[in-house]
Amino acid sequence: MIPGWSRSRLATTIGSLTLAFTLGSGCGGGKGTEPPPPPPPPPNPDQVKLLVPGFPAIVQPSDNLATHQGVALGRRLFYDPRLSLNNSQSCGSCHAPAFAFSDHGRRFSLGAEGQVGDRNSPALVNLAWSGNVFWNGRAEHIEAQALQPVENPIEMMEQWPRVVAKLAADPAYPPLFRAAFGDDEVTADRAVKAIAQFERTLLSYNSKYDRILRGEESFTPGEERGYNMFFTEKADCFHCHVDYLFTDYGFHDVGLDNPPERGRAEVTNRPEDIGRHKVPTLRNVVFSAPYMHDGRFATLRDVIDHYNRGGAGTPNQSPFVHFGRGLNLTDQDKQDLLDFILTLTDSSFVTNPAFQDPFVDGLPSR
Amino acid sequence: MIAPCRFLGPCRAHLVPAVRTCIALGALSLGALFLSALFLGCGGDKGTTPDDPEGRLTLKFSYSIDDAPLVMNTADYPYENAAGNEYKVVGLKHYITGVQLRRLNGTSFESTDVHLLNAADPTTLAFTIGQIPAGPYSSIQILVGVDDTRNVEGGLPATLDNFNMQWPRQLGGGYHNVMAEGRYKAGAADSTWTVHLGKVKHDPNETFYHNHVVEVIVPGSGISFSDDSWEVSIDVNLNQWFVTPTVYDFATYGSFIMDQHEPQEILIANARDAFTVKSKVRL
Repeated sequence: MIPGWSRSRLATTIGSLTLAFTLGSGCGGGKGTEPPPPPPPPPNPDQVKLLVPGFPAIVQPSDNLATHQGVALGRRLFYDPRLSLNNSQSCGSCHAPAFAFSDHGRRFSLGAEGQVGDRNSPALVNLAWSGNVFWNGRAEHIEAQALQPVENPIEMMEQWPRVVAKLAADPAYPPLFRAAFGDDEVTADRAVKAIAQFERTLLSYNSKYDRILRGEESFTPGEERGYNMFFTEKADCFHCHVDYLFTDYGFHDVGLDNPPERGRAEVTNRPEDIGRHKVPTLRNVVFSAPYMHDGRFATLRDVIDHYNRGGAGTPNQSPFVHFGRGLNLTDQDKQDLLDFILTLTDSSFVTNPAFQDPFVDGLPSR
Repeated sequence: MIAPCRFLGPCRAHLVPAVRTCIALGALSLGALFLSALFLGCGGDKGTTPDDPEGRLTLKFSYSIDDAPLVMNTADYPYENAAGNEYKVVGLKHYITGVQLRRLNGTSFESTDVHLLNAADPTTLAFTIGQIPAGPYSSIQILVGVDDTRNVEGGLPATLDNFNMQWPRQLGGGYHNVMAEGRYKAGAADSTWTVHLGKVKHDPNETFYHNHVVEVIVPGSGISFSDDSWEVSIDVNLNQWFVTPTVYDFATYGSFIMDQHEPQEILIANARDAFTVKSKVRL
């Protein structure tokens, strides 16, 4: 049990939120002259409710609200190797559920013809809250991201018109597109929308830490020490890996090299973005080794050691990576911190049947 | 020692604890259009009818270093504070809650909206309060930070922006009231500074308290509404935040201040001189 956190805290938190809204309407509010809001539209039974209690609301794009049919189609497309030039590689080839949708422990992924990439395949966990996607954020949203690997010459090496032709020629697909989008037409836009719908369902919120927050389990002494370091400036992890989400979905230069790679500046061309990369969530991070945008650290302990040293002092190094001071963590501190981070492991996420390859065991026909 | 505010209106009294910073400065009154005494309390719904005239107030914030607009994320260290620290600014966010328009008779109108301002995002730096009962107001008070009622875990709407402002429950929970940070020259190398204000303890055996809440009675902010709109521009001089009454030295406090009573108190007290009205315009 967390100190100061009662078993009913989650319910209390939700209650507080309700209370806050109640209080907020009682002072300085309207005078009742506004016309009543229109009644909400009737619920769409096909729509997937993306809601995690205690987490921020998930804002889906208005032109791509997830439906059961869209998610099912997206899951199938995610695992379909016909999205690659030689029908050898699907999204799931480099984003495997058992590895929190990262690439089997590889530092760099291999392309359709075995070519070596230049970025570590990021885990796909709780993308539903994410804005810019890729380590440098070059895709503004998941839909835009899903479009790119297919035609990337060091990834799937295919062309979308050829993919569309392949899918349209498979009698299994047009009915699935009809179910998801209203007619049989197969398009790249619809395909990436469906993949994005599936990816938004990849939600992890049942780790030991979550169960502790719900009052169902307790920390070990080491985990609790790590928890307290993580969420204070002793280790100062929480400013970028904020509570609940364990990422701020932002971009930071964590002082890896001096001079650094361009990172986010590849997209923005702003000098202050040089060296900044997207902050990954730490949920299920144990499954997604190696670490950092270039997979340079084989273990989480290596990552902790990096932050303990305080970074390389790059021009844009985040103030939350304490160059010149470091963290002065002892070996025991590091172990405790690691023990806490491991409480963010959600085995039910990586084994969730709804997330697995539907082509395995010949479930859907191809 | 921080002087307690002596001018709490009836609504603020239940929101703000005893310990706080209150900057009481001269206020202007532009004349009475209605007897403000009719409108007691904090809401826009006291003694008015739908046909009564209402005012709208837009507050616009800007950030500066002395006389120049704040430029963030510079390659060099363009600023120098009173302690002689050469520094740059990487981030600056803060909440504004409890915007309160006060009348000379002690009553007030208060907005309960919460605003998260990010100096790096111009779209966040202005907001409008509507349905303000007509009449003269002697001053505008703003609360820099989240009021105590809502500065608890889950106290604000569950948005990503609010989650990114969380103040750890180990340190009392709730939200950062102010989150500013950057780097400064420390000899041949450099180091980091942070101005992160939130709940704190005097000592480990005490409970956390809310003295981080900074109330600023904006000087020269007297205003009078009929059925019209006003725009008040407030400038925040970050460099002035490090001057009076206590010179704040990054080399002394650096970047680990969230659980330290002393730098928190200094920065709260110093805030009084950082906020000024740049302009006040009837639109």
